[in-house]
Formats: sequence, structure tokens, C-alpha cells
Amino acid sequence: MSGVCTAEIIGNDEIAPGIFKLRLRLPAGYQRPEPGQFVNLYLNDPSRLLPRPISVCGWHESVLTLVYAVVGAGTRAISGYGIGAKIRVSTPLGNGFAVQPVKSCILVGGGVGVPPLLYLANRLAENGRDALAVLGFRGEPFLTDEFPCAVEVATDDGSAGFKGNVVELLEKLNLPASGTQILACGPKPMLGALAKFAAKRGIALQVSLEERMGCGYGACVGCVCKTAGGSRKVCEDGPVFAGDEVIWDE
Amino acid sequence: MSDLRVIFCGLELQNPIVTASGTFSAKGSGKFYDFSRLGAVTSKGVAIDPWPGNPTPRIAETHSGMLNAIGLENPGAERFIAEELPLIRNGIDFSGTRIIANVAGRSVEEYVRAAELLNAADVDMLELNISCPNIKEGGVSFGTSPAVAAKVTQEVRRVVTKPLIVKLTPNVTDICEIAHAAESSGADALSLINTLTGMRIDVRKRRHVLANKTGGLSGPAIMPVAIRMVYQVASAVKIPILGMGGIMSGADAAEFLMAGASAVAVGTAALVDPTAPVRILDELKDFMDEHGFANIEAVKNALK
Ligand SMILES: Cc1cc2nc3c(=O)[nH]c(=O)nc-3n(C[C@H](O)[C@H](O)[C@H](O)COP(=O)(O)OP(=O)(O)OC[C@H]3O[C@@H](n4cnc5c(N)ncnc54)[C@H](O)[C@@H]3O)c2cc1C
Ligand SMILES: Cc1cc2nc3c(=O)[nH]c(=O)nc-3n(C[C@H](O)[C@H](O)[C@H](O)COP(=O)(O)O)c2cc1C
Ligand code: FES
Repeated sequence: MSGVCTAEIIGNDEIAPGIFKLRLRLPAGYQRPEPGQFVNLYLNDPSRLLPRPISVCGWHESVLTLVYAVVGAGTRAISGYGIGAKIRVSTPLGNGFAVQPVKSCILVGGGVGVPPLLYLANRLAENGRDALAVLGFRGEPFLTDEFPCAVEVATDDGSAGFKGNVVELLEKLNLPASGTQILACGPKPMLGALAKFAAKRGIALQVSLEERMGCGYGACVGCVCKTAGGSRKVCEDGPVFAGDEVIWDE
Repeated sequence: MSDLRVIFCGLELQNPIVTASGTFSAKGSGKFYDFSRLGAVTSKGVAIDPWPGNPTPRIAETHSGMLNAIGLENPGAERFIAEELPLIRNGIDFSGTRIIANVAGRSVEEYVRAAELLNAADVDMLELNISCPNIKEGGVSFGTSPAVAAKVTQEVRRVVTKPLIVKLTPNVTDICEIAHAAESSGADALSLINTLTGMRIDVRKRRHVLANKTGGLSGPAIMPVAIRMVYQVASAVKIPILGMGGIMSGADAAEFLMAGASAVAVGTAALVDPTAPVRILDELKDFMDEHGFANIEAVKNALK
């Protein structure tokens, strides 16, 4: 069952410039989200109506961890909420990653696409699965040292790790195509380039997409993306889609 | 205990709370609340053929409101009847919740064909969305001309045996003129208001926020406009009104009733709070108990 509840903020710390880790205590009884699912945060400001969709980054005994970037007025407001403050949340929303029984999972993240992959990496480690995380950042990397698996970092300016983007880094890493699945989250151009990369090598790919949302639960048809099977709702049919299902060129 | 039942177009609703078109889906909304508690649920706009809708972004936030430019994406009447309608029916089971099918079209013929199919389907009432752009008239909305509004209402009326609600657009100079045209062309009820056309620009990116450039403004920002229009129309026509536009609370719902609405619809509030329709129902009940209103008629007649 999905639900909307009032959660208590038990942590809201800046972990890198403009990047915050928010920890929320939910009332008991909420199911553990699946990696790739997201929640909606509602602002404590009645003049800002729309939900802010944020991917699940961690979950432990009704404590939900989210990592968000301050990009606009809403996330700026949330970054000012202190410990003990209340915030409304609906959870869990959307569908998680469909991990195949392959030898190795490659988790490819860009920027604020990294947090859901940390949750996925932890779940894979829990299940004794092998993984490699390939993470790209425009600025200072974050969360990289929390991954329970091997991590390769790329930065645009080369200030940390590989200088370039994650697709260039993947090309350099020269991974085997068989026995591999890529699970990715990041900006759409990155995911589009990754889809080309995976298609060329015959690597299975799952991508988590972003779109502007009205409701987050399939009612308003605001968040669609084009796929081979027609128009699909990112919030209800996604946010995770098969890489070869999404129509990238628009 | 107050009695919340209302008679609307000759049908009993167990209470006056209805979902507004485009903000409800049986599967999605049903995850958050039991919609069999509501007076009625309204489908999103259904046209005779599938419509692809507009490119994204389709949604933008505004001060105390939002813009949407969905472009009436819908699977077409046949798939709506085969797929969405059974889900709604399953969710309301043996409750008295009514089903309203919202009808969209780009020409009078398209409206008539969709209305004919929906009239024969498992729905209780039809709501004609005459805010749609008329492709034969350069995209001007049907609902902005009394003559065109009358024409589409008459033609649809001919094929519809179930109660017919005509949903008015607020983007007009004189809403009462359009209301009269719909009433005299056979509408059993009116619903108002649809969204107000708006636009936003991202000044940093120097771009339109919506891919479609313009969109429909909804939410609490439009409520005073809606209240005024419901009040004006209620004094101009004899048929009942389904009032909507920015309802966020039970008190807001009561305000629409006092302005002259017989029932009210909750739209944008359900995006801000997925349980809004049932929360507003509970709040309206509490409001009526607290202020000693025995029934909805008493609220409707309360304005001094
Ligand atoms: C499924 C999903 C998961 C996400 N997970 C994360 C995450 O884990 N961490 C993170 O930092 N960000 C994440 N995002 C992006 C995040 O939702 C936006 O950055 C945030 O909504 C911006 O809000 P704002 O008020 O600061 O920005 P504003 O620009 O002021 O917001 C205005 C409106 O646009 C919407 N909006 C703006 N940017 C985006 C965007 N990129 N995607 C969707 N809606 C947007 C807002 O929700 C709001 O309704 C995710 C988005 C989606 C769709
Ligand atoms: C996302 C969205 C989709 C809508 N789709 C429809 C529609 O398909 N047909 C229609 O008649 N009205 C549609 N509307 C208008 C609403 O039904 C309602 O008239 C309007 O939003 C005002 O009410 P509100 O402020 O409570 O949302 C839509 C509104 C929104 C926000
Ligand atoms: S955000 Fe409303 S349908 Fe996806």
C-alpha cells in the first residue's frame, strides 16, 4: 500500500556543496521501498503546491534517507528545514530496477542520479551480488565512499578520478558485454549516450528517468515519456525503463 | 449528524464531493484512498480517438497554483471503456458512487461520436468539456462562443439519454451568456470552472516553462474567480451547478455551496495531497456538524 504521511526530520546535512542528506522518520508500518522507487516530498509552504520527487537512497527501520541537490526554490526551502521539523511524504512511488541474474551489475550514475544507485548497491551487496559503480559528477563527488562495491569516478574537470564523462570512462574500462547489466540514473543526455553505448555492445540496460510531475501516482498524465510501446507515465510505469524501450531522440 | 446526500440531475449522490476531471485515476488514486466514499468520480477527458497530448514539460508550478498543458492525452473512448472504466467500477463496488465520463472533442462530430459511445457504457453521467480547441475554427475553444457552445450541446444532447453536464471555460467575457446557451440547448447541469489560460517564462533560461507555452491555471489561486462565476451563474440559470476551482479544504467546499453550487469537485488539491477528496469530505462533514447545518440544502441557502 502506498500512503501519504507526516514524517519527522532527524537529519538534514550538507554533504557536499549544495548536496544535502535528509533523514526522515516515518510512522511504523510503511513497506521497505525497492531500489529505484521514489517518494514525493510536499513543502511546508501552501503557496508551493507541487510534490518534489526524490529517489530513495536508504531505508532502515522506518528511517528513509534521501540525498538531494539544491536546484530551485523548493529544494532550497527543504534545505532550511531543521531537525524535529515535520514534512509530508508519499511513499513508495513508481517501480524499482529489474535486476537480471547476471554475473556483474554496472551501476552508472550522474550527479543526483547517484543516490538511488547507492540504495541499489547496498541491496545487491545484501544479496551477495557483485557490482561496480561508475559515477560521474560535475562538481565535488558525493556518496562515493559509502558504496559497498568497487567505485570508479569521473568528473568533468578531472578534479577527481577520470577527466570526462561516464560513457567515456566506460569505454576506457572495456567491460565484457556478456554477463553484464547496466543500471543507470542521471541526466537524460547521459542516459541517451549510455543507451547508444549499451546497444552497440549488446549490453542489457535499465534507466531511471526524470520528468516534471503533477501527482506522482498516475492520475494527471503530466510526466510522460515516449517509448517503443507508446506514451508511458514516468511516475507509474517507471521511473525505471529498459534502455532499448525509451525513444531518446526528440 | 448532518445529511450529506444531494440530488444532482435527478440522481442521488451520497455526498457532494466529486473528483475533478484529469486529476483522478482508479489505479493511482485508489492506492491512497477508498473512492467509493465519494459522491462521484470523473474520468479524465475521453475523445473518440486516442490523442497523443503535448510534449513535456506539461506541468509548472505557480504561486498557489499550477499550470498544466497535458493536451488531453487519452487512449480513446473504446480503450477507456474496456480498460479504465472496469477499474473504476470495481473500486466503487456496491456503493452509491456515481461515474461521470468527461468528453473531449476537436469538432462537433467528434464530440457526438464519443458521447454516443460513452452514453452506452457503464457511466452515470456525461460531462462535456467544451474548453477544447475547435480545429475547424482555428483552435478557438468551443466554450468561448455562445452559438458554438449551443451547437455542440444540442448535437450531443440528441444522442445522450443520461444526464448531461456541460463544463464551462472561465476564459470568456460573460460566463452567464455561455451558461444560458448551454441551458437552453439541453444541458441538465453545468460544471465550472475549467482552468484559466496562463503562461510562465523561466527568465534565467529565457524559455517558456511549458513546452506548449501556455497552459491551464488551477489550484487555490483561481478560487475567488471560480466562486464569483458560480455565484453569477447560479443566479442566472435554473439547472444545478458542479462547482470547482481551487478547493483545498472542507471550508472551501462549503464556500462553493454557499455561492450556489449543488456539488463540488476537487482537482489540484489531489496532487498536493493524494487523499484530498476524502479529507475534504470529512472536513465538510465536521464543518456542517460544528455549524449546525442539517443538510447540504441548508449550506446552499446560508448566504446572507
Ligand atoms: C523520479 C525522480 C527522482 C528524483 N530523484 C532525485 C534525487 O534523488 N535527488 C535529487 O536531488 N533530485 C532528484 N530528482 C529531481 C528533483 O525532483 C528536482 O531537482 C526537484 O523537484 C527540484 O525542485 P525545486 O523546487 O528545487 O526546483 P524548481 O525548479 O523551483 O521546481 C519547480 C517545479 O519543477 C519541478 N522540477 C524541477 N526540476 C525537476 C527535475 N529535475 N525533475 C523533476 N521535477 C523537477 C519541481 O518538482 C517543481 O514542481 C528526481 C526527480 C524524479 C522525477
Ligand atoms: C492536470 C490536470 C488535468 C486536467 N484535465 C482535464 C480534463 O481532461 N478535462 C476537463 O474537463 N478538465 C480538466 N482539468 C480541469 C479540472 O477538472 C478543473 O476544472 C480545474 O483544474 C479547476 O479545479 P482545481 O483548481 O480544483 O484543479 C484538468 C486539471 C488539471 C490540473
Ligand atoms: S505525475 Fe501525474 S501521472 Fe505522473
